Formats: sequence, structure tokens, C-alpha cells
Amino acid sequence: MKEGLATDGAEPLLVANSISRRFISGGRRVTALDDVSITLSAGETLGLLGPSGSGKSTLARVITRLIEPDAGEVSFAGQDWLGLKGSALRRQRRLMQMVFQDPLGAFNPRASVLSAITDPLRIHRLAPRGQWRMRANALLDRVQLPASLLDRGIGEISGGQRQRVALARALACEPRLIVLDEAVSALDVSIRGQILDLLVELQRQDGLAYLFVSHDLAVVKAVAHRVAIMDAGRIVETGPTGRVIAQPSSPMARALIAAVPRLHQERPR
Amino acid sequence: MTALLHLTELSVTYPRQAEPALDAVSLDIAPGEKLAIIGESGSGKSTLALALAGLLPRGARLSGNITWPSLGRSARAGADFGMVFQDPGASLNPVLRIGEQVAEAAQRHLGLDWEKAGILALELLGRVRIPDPELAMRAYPHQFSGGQRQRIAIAAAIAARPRLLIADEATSALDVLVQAEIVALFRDLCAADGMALILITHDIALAASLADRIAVMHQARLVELAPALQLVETPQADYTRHLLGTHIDLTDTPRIGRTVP
Repeated sequence: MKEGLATDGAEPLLVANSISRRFISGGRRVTALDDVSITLSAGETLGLLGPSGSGKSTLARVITRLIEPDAGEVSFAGQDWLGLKGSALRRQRRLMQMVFQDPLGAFNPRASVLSAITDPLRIHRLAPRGQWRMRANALLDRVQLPASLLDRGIGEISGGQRQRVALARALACEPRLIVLDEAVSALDVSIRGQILDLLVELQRQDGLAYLFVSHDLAVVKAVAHRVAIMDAGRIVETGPTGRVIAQPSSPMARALIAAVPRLHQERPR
Repeated sequence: MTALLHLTELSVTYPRQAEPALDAVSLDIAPGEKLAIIGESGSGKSTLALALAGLLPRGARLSGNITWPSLGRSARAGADFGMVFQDPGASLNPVLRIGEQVAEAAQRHLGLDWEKAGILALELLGRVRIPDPELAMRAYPHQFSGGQRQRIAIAAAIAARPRLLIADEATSALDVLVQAEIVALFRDLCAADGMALILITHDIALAASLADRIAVMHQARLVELAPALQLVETPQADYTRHLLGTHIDLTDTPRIGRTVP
């Protein structure tokens, strides 16, 4: 399996190999993931695209160990990721963080920005208590938020600010990979572009890898080096983003491209 | 041509708010016209829809005028205009069969008996392209996908053949493939029935791909109203230019380099 990977010599950060997962739904067996394999290198963004129910969120959840696959292996940061258990898993978990569409659902709604950002420092014992405030300030600065927000409630700030706080909390863990599940989909368009710029800048600084799960091809094109197109639990096409958009070979990639609303187009009347 | 709907200096202020959520908005909608109202969170676009539909919360202060010149009277919700929202689950009753829900709309607004209302409901489910309408009539909302639930909500909303359908972020929660199907359905329904459409959306490209005219809302005010192509090609308001500038399009240059660093 090691040969033939799309990397130049260096070991990829993440290799998911032949992942399968079935669910029982309404008495029927539904194959959510059917022999799915992906790789991701440090500093790289892989866009995971597909319609609802194609399996992209299930794959993200397998990789983040929120659900267990029926079959397959995942290696991450040189380790057998699915084999990690108990305290070993807890120690390593900080290396892979997740940011969701609705950050309000990911935070205790009564928490302050300070406690939301410093929870990981406490949980993973990354800094002594006396340094939390200083570290939180530095993290806010990295996501381009003013330090004055530290003592505000997580429910009192705007949706765009909250998504930056979610990123700051992820960064507090000093991760190597962030899984972004529809992380900009709920934001207003002008905010969305700013968050995408921030993601690109953080990646440039830290060599972070992103698994960017989205159904929005235009957004994926803006940030992803490569894309994997999913349809009915399988990866049906993968390649450099520009090439896949310019010359899609699978029916699903063609359908996703055709469905993007265009600003300038001949419109049916 | 007599306008279908005429708004004059429409303002709305919510209880305990100093600033209006809608500030002196005036516009006309022609019969059969597809008008998109676009803006970001808090721009007033949904308040405008709620005001039109008479669904403002208790205590909201409304001033200005809403008239329906082509009706010559005030409009009745459900009969003269229908509405669909972002979450179709919220407009469908989870314990009523689909057939009953769509038939109820026909029965109430058209005064049909149950049998005729049921026949119409079956026809409507076919028009919104629900597969196997006979079977769907006896099923419950949870047995359908989000996109199919939105089609069912649309079937109920158009049951009384309204002159206007108001769609408030009706495709925002759907994936792009389903969104494109619903947009095509709106286009077909408007063409077939001469029904007017108010499409409320944050997506300027979606608006441009469907609407005849686009109204741009910003901070409670209508900042620009123009034919869709003209608005996209030659925007006049600074805010419209800002929205167009921040739109993320497939033709944009990526924000990253093409090679893995």
C-alpha cells in the first residue's frame, strides 16, 4: 500500500486504507462507507465532496475516532490510529482536531471565550494554570480576534467570531490535522472568505493538514490542493482540485460542478 | 400592468429594539415575476418576508402599507400566497400522513370535499416530482429525505394555486444537487402557473440564476433593486459591489498555490 501514494518521498501524515462501515437503518443494511482509502500530507488540504448521504461525514467521523469502522486501517502521525486505546489515545487525540458547521453546538453555551479556548490546555495539560490567560491571548491573536473578547460569553459573540474561537481552541492543542466539517457553510458570504483566508494563513505558518468536508465545490476550490469526490459510500474520483473541476471524469463530479449556481451564465427562460 | 403586490415605506421595529429591522422599504412585484431578496444575517430580508405574510411576532411595530392591487383586497395567507421555509420539518406535522397535510391545504383554501382534495393532493405530489405519489400519500414526513420534505412543503404551499410563493432560505439547508432540483422546480411552477416568487436568500449566485429582479438589503434598508443580469454586471450600490466581491465562485483563483508545499 505504501507505494503509489501521491507524495514525494515523505510519509503521508494520514493514510486511511480500505475503510468500510455499514449501518442498520429501518431494518435495512446501509453501506455508509465501502472500501474507502485516502491519504493526506502535512501542509496539504484534501477537499472531501459529495451530496448528503454520500458518506463524507461518516468518513470524517471514522478518522476522528467518533465511530469505529467495520473494516480498514488508519495510520496517523506514524501510528496505528485505530489501535490506540485508553490513555494512549487520550494523549494522542490532541494531534487531530475537529471544527463543525455550528460552533455553538460544540461549546458549552454558558462558557466564556477564555474557558472555551483554555479547556484543551487543562485537559491535555499543555500549560500550567498561570499561563492560560497569556496563551489564550496569543491564540486569539492568531485567529485575528481582539483580546477584549476573552471574558465575553460564547453566546454573545457573532457567528464568524465563534468560528474563529473554535479554530483557536483547536490550535490550542497544537494539532497536525484539523478536520473541518462544513465549517464555513453557515457563515455569511463576506465572513466565509475571511475564515478561508485565515485557514490558508494558519496552514502556511504551521504546516497544518486539513480534511475539508463540504458540499460546496466553489469553497473547496478556494482552499483544497486535492479533492476526493464521494458518491454512495465510495470515492469515485480524486485528483488535484483544478484538474478535477476542469476535466471531471465521474458522473458525480460532473453533477456537482453543474449544480453550482453561476453569477454569469445563460439562463433558461 | 397592475402590480401584484405593492409595498410603500414598510418599516418594522421589534419589541425592545431601538433600531428598525426593516426601514422604509418600497417595492412592487408584478404578477408572475420572480424577485430575489438578498442580504446577509440581520439585513432585514426575513423580516420583510414575515411582514408580507403577516407572521411578525407579537409586539412588533409595523408602519407603511402593503397592498395587493391586482386582488383589490388584502391577501389571505395560504390562498393568495404560500410560504416555504428553510426547515421543511417545521412546516410539516410529524404525525399526519403526507396526503392529509397536502389535502388539508386544498380543502381549507379551495373548499373541496376530502375526496376531491385527496385527488388534488395526489396530483400536486406528482407535480413536485415526489416518486410514487400514491405510496407517498400514506407515508409520514420522517420517511422522506430533507429535499423530498421540502418538495412536500412546496406541494402544500401551492395547493390553493396562490398568486405568490414566498421561499425563505428554502434551499439553504439542502446539498447543491437537491438545491438545483428545487430551483428547477420553482422555475417550472412559475412558468406553468404564472405564479410569482419571492426568493429570500443569502446566495447572490442562486438569486442571479433564478430571479428576474434582485433586491439587495443591507442594515434594514433596500440599497439596490435591478434586473438580475444588470445588477450582477453593473452594480450601482457600494454594498452590492461588496457582496459580489466576496462571493466565492468556481471561476475564482484559488486562495492556495496549486502544488502541495
